[in-house]
Amino acid sequence: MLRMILRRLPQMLIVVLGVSFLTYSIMYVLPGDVVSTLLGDNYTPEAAAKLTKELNLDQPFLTRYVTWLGGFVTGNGGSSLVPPHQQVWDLVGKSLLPTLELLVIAEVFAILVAVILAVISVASRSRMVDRTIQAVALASNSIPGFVLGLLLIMLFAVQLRLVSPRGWVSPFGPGGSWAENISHILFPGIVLGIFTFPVIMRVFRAELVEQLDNEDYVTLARLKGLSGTRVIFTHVVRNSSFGLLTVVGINLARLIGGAVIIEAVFAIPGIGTLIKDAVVSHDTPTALVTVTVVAIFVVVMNLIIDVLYAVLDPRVRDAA
Amino acid sequence: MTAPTKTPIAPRPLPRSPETRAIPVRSQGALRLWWYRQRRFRRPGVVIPGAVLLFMVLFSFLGPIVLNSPPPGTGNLSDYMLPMGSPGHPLGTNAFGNDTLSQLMYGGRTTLTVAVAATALGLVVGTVLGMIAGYFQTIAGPIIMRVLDIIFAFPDIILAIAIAAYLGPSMINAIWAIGFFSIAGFGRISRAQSLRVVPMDFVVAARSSGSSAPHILLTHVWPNIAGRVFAYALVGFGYAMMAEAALSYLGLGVPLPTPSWGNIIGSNQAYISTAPQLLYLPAICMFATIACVNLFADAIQEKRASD
Repeated sequence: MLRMILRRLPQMLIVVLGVSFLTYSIMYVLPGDVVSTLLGDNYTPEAAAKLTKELNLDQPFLTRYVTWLGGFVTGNGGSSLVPPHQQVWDLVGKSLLPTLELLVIAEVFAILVAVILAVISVASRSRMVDRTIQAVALASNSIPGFVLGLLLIMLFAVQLRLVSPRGWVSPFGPGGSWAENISHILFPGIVLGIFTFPVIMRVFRAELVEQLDNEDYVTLARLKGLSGTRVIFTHVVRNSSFGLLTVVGINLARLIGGAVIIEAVFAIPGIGTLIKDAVVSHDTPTALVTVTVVAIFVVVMNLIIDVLYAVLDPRVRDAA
Repeated sequence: MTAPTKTPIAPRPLPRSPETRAIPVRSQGALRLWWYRQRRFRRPGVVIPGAVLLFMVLFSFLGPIVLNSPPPGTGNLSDYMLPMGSPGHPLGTNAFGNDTLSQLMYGGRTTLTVAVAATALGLVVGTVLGMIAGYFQTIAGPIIMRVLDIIFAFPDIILAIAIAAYLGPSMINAIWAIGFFSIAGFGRISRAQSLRVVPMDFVVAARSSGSSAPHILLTHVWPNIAGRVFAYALVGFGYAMMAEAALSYLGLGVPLPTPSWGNIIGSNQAYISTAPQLLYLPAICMFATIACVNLFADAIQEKRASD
């Protein structure tokens, strides 16, 4: 186990470094003069020269990247170029909660719906039910996330007035409470979940069918006289749930991509909004730190999932 | 005493399934032969999505010519926000008096063009990289795969946002941005498939008889992985359409005077309660196209699995 983690660490490091380097390169070639933007009306050649020196802008590209990397590792991400020039890590800290809540709600909802629908479609053994469920999955896989969000806002917020179209109320702000907070973020979370569940369902359903058709323990259970439904619920679902772990990991990048869009639709001040605004306003320090944090998150989550997989499945553990 | 002889049961004629029908030969005409060869695709699961896709393409590219509709940006401000069914504007107009039907048709041109071009870009670059990674398994392969891992660890839409923000919103730049992040998917598929083909005897034979690597990849590996790669391209096309829509919605895709299904929705978000048709009409177009592409991909994969 430890050996597996140690073997994976260099790979993870390379991916994270690569992502930050790629972002750095992209932001480096972005047009726009940082110094004149920062100084605004206070622009004088002397002040400009001084700031250029302070921000290391007179250094070559690679030196600046290494300096930035050193700052990132030691917890100094610099300050935002957009007034009021907050510390980047403060900005990231503030945006973390909405995005995490969104992701957790979406993932839980997606897994629940995916598992329930997959089990129904396999256990019912009815072609009609199976086809209907597949059609529902195909449909929600074919709608862009923001369209789904807007359509559901149109239906539930505008027509039926069941939910608020506003996605975020801070639990710490004036008049905010955790109950209020959850009740607002729940709807965007579910929208993101609807957007993600088809992929999970497909994999889980395929896994169920595969186990039912090929595994000896299924034959044994059948020979012992267990009913088909019993076999599915007591044996196959448990054994298939390993596959769920993998697909959740693979799906994570897609989920975060979806979160960026959903945050834009519901005006949620999360990581996605932060990245989007930073990139659009050429706010290099913010964009760099945020994107790197997202990459680290994806990579670490994937490692955790692989470790969990090894813990749960002795065959994988011994192979590693 | 002889038992009354039973009349022998005549063998029932076989049902006229496509297989028992006479197989046409070349002399009977190329068209008939082609029609026969396509028999396995004459199923509702293939024909219906195919027809819808064909309709969307014709609607977008020939529609404006056939219906002689005005260009999408030439509306009269005095006609603003007409409801559906207005004379001269069957689907109404938007806040600038532009005809919605015309916007949908021209928007389809943009969206379909961007998605096809981006998928083609990802297919060519990704497949070449993937085949190289599958063939040179010692040095080049791992390096390419790490690079693709990096692209994969990036939520694709963030990458597209970064590229689009750098290049500035335009149709060509949207193609670059979306095409770039679709490289990783094609790379993975084609590497996995190449790994399957490369150890096969005919590749080993070609190698030992001195064929060059590009020659082997093109004449031996590519034909054996092309089917899977094209099947994935259909799925990738669906993703590319969604990505174009998302970028345009954020204002980083195709910029406004040129309509696309994505930016029609994005720019009319404010009219969600007063003129919802401005949102759901392009949404229906997009949904129909993506769903049919996915159905098509499913049908082809099912067919492949049962072969």
